[in-house]
Amino acid sequence: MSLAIDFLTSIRRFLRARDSIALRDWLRVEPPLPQQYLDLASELKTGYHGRNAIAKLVEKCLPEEYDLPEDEGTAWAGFIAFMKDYFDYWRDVNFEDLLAAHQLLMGLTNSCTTALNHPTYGTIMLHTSISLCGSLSKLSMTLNKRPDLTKKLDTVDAGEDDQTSIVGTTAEVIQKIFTTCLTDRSSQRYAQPEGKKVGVYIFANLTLKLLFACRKTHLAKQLFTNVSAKAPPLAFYPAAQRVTYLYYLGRFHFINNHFTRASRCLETAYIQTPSNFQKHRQLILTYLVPCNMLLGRLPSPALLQRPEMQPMVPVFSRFAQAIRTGNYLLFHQTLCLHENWLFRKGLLLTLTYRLRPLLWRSLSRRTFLLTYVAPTEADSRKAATLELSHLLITTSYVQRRLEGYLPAQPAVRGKQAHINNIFLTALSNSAGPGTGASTLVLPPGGPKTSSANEGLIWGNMAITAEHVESMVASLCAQGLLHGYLAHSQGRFAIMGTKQKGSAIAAGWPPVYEVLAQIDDEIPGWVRDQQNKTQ
Amino acid sequence: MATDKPADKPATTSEAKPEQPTQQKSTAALEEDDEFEDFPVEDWPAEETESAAQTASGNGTTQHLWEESWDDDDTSDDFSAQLRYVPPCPSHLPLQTSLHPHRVYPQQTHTNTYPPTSEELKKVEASKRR
Repeated sequence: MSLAIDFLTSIRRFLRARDSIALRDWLRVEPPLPQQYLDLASELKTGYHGRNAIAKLVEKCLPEEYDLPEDEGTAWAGFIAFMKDYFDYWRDVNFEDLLAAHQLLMGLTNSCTTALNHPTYGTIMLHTSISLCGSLSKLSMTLNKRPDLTKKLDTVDAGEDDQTSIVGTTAEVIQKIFTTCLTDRSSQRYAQPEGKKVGVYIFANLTLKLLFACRKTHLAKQLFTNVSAKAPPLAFYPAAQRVTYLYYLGRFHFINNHFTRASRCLETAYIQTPSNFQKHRQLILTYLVPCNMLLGRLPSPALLQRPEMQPMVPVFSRFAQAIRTGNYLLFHQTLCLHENWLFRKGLLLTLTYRLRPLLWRSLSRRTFLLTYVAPTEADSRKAATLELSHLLITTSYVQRRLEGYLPAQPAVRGKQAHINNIFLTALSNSAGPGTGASTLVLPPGGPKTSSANEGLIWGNMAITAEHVESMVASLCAQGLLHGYLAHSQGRFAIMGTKQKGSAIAAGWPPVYEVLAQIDDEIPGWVRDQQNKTQ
Repeated sequence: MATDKPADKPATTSEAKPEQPTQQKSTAALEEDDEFEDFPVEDWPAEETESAAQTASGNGTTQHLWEESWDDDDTSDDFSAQLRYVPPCPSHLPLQTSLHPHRVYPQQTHTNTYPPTSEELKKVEASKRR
């Protein structure tokens, strides 16, 4: 008996037994492969010329049967078409030509979708669909890294359009299967999933993995919209699927600057991942820690000591220290030092720009701590204030340092240049360590030309009183500073000192209290019926 | 014969030599540490996770992992020391020739040169202390 007939006979047996797993194990498409598949391929090449020969063989070996007992299955039109394509695939595939192999596999996956759509027997194809999509996705990711190969396609398709790119078309094919699973009517939406519904989050995760690996995350929006509209609750699915899905959903919200939502997804993913999966936990923390920092929650010593956190401690503990003290210099040093890593992880731009309000907040707080003197009994009714001119001094100093000016002990020049009684009095009145004024010296070769993302405002742009005032106004509007601007006096006046017990506590409320949002509805995350998403 | 295929897999894998190099190449290209790999197991009991431990202890949050009150009031650090003694601007620095208009704060007691210097800051500090 020929190998092809032998193969189809076994397939027919699996269909009859409705053995979805065995079917998947046999319908393999990628190496490494047992020798029989290679033999089958050469038999199909030599023994069956033209599509008709293969079609006839498949139809003969896989007849549609009727009046079967209820627990038995048979071939159906969609499946027969799929098997024809499967044999065509083995006849034509050449793994040295990845682009052509991808085209063939796409065609085969499309036939698989049609077969899966059958209302009665389609479910038999579920595991085969998962395995095919896994192979297709892997091949697409490989091709995405080989522009030398896909260049040919680009000239045909005129550019890296999402609809025509390798990744875009693959994602579309997998999403078709995802939609088939989503719309399956074997079970109610909020009941234990059955039939093809079992595969909803598997296909969602396969698509997401592809889109994130190829940096096409914007294409995930439609998928999350569909999940929100139709998917069963995530809690019904196995832990590995839940964690993987929440990881990608969290990253999607992070990319879209929804940090509260991202934090909820990532934190749930993190605490549901057992500690022996260190690599997964580390990847989740890579996004959870920055996300929480942006919301005003810094990693605690307990978290910083965890083993999965260790590779990232040098980065995140420095950011945390910069946020605590308003130390813009440390902030920029850390960004520069870890620029490549932050860029690769997709964190660079978000952290560069979105942490700035927290740094301005802490720098204004630090300036207040250094300059504020509590009122005496007589004027105790006056509101505590921060003079904006003081903040202008400190921010201008930081700006200069960012431009490369160096602090130097001005033992000789400083005193000679500015010797006067008031200055000395001021010096002697200044308590604290490091007494003795410092000064800035021009760096050799002149000040550094900063790019737009450096500098407190915009590159080398000098900070003006207007900049400072607008920044403080913005912090007040966001609630990060509690008080109001006394414009005519050039001061920020703090409100609620008595209630809070001190001016500093009243003027600079804890960031997380201000930024945390009660956001029960997280698009893309289906919980129970009462708490369903949009 | 065909029915033995799945069982034969481990033994016959090494025979599929022509395909081996392609597979290795593509796997190596994909295996970057950025990838959230498939879990080796499909499911695990909730008891093995922190989420269960927290539910059991009645503390449903991850409070111990995060600090929400982290403001640092200690001004003895190096950065604060630098800010405290922010220097006057030496005449050769371009700030002195800034084209930005001077901003006058009427209530201020010190002179309104642009930008304010640390001397002014210290004067204010000193006057408050007196």
